[in-house]
Amino acid sequence: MNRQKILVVDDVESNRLILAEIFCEDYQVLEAADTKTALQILEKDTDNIAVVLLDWHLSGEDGGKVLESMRKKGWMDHIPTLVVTAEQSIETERKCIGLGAADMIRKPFDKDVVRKRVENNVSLYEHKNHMEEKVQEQNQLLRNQYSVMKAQAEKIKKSSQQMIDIICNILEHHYPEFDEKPQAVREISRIIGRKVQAHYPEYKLSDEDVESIAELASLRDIGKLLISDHVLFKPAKLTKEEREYMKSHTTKGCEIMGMMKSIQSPEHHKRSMEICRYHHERYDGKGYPEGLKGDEIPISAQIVSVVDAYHALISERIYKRAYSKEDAYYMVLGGECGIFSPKIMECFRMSRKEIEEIGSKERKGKV
Amino acid sequence: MNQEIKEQLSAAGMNMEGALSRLMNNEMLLERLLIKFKADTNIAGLEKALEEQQYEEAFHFAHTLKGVAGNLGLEKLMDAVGIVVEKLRSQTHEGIEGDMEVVREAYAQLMEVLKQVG
Repeated sequence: MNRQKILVVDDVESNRLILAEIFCEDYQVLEAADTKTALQILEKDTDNIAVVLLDWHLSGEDGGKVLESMRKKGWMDHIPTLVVTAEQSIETERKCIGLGAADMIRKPFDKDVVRKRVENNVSLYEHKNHMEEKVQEQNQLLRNQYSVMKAQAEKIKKSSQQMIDIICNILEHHYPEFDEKPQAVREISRIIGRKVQAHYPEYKLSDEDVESIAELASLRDIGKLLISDHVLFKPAKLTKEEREYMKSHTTKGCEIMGMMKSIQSPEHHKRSMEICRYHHERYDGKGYPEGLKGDEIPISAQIVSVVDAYHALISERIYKRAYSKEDAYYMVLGGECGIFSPKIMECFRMSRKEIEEIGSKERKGKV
Repeated sequence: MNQEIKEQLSAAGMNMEGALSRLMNNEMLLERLLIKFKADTNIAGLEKALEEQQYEEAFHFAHTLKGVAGNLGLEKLMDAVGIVVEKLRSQTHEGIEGDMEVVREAYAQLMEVLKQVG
């Protein structure tokens, strides 16, 4: 028992003495002769008082004052108050219980009854207080668990991102054809994706959607792993057959992503498949592999297709030199890489400055 | 308190056994409380308030006296005061003087015995 004090409120000393005598063995007895003293003691010793025995007829005022103050202060929820009275009327009883008294003791009382009633109420409240503490503890525990889970989800997301980075780095190492800097593709995709999100709400892109499109853009050409080196690295113009074979890197990419299904979330997996398969589709239906038109092409692939075209122009390839950013910008807008959606082109235009600043920031970073 | 006084108190309407039981059979405490009771001013306060027709005040004195008497097992006095309490509560003051006579008699009887205590 952590609350070891009992407060006896009665203006008649002999009444206090009698109750003190009954309880002095089990409790430290505190006494108050009036309302003011009683409330002062309660204020000071709130957490140590197990029970209050309150005389109803305090001289000048009634015990209701004490009950009301206790209720206002919130003490009543933790400390049971038993009203002691010589009143026999049902009205008084109704009033006391109505004001929140835990129980009534009638004078003259029997010591065993008083003790038992006090004991019952104390153990009931002890239990109640204990339960409240327990519930609070449990709540805290749940909150902690929740934050641990959140951190873990974050970690899983991060490691799936790292996995993609590792794959991109391997690709880059074996095939100079791939991006020297997967970060650049990611950054350009993010910039354009944000513009789509802000200006074309019909695509319903969330922050998370934009982020995942940016992350997964680097995987668009993963299917080239399954393309023979003599075609991939052929330093001359491809034959018609070879070009058709080369185009299959889109569908082959989906085969590889299919193998990675279990390490990706369902949304990421779906998006990866869209990007691999459709990043060479064009708005006018002249792209491949399926010749989809307009918004038949998933928005993720529409964004990545522009990024892919632009990035290919500014990179050096085995069959071409790198174009300047300015040239590349006008070539994409001029339709030299095929026709893109007017909405995406609008976003591309709005993004020009930000895209061109990517490199300069990187250079500054390296100095 | 010797046996003789105890018997006299019982004759004056005191429930000795009940009072002692309430006090955990602490006879010393009972004696102390009875001595305190001799100096209790509630009866005087009640008389004065009735005389001045301050009935609400009278009610409080009567009520406290009833409680004290009850605690000490002074049952005859408690019952007599109880009648006065109820009359004052319901504000029917008729015949209250007669009821007070019974209170005074019970009180006097107790005081007579308590002279020997303390």
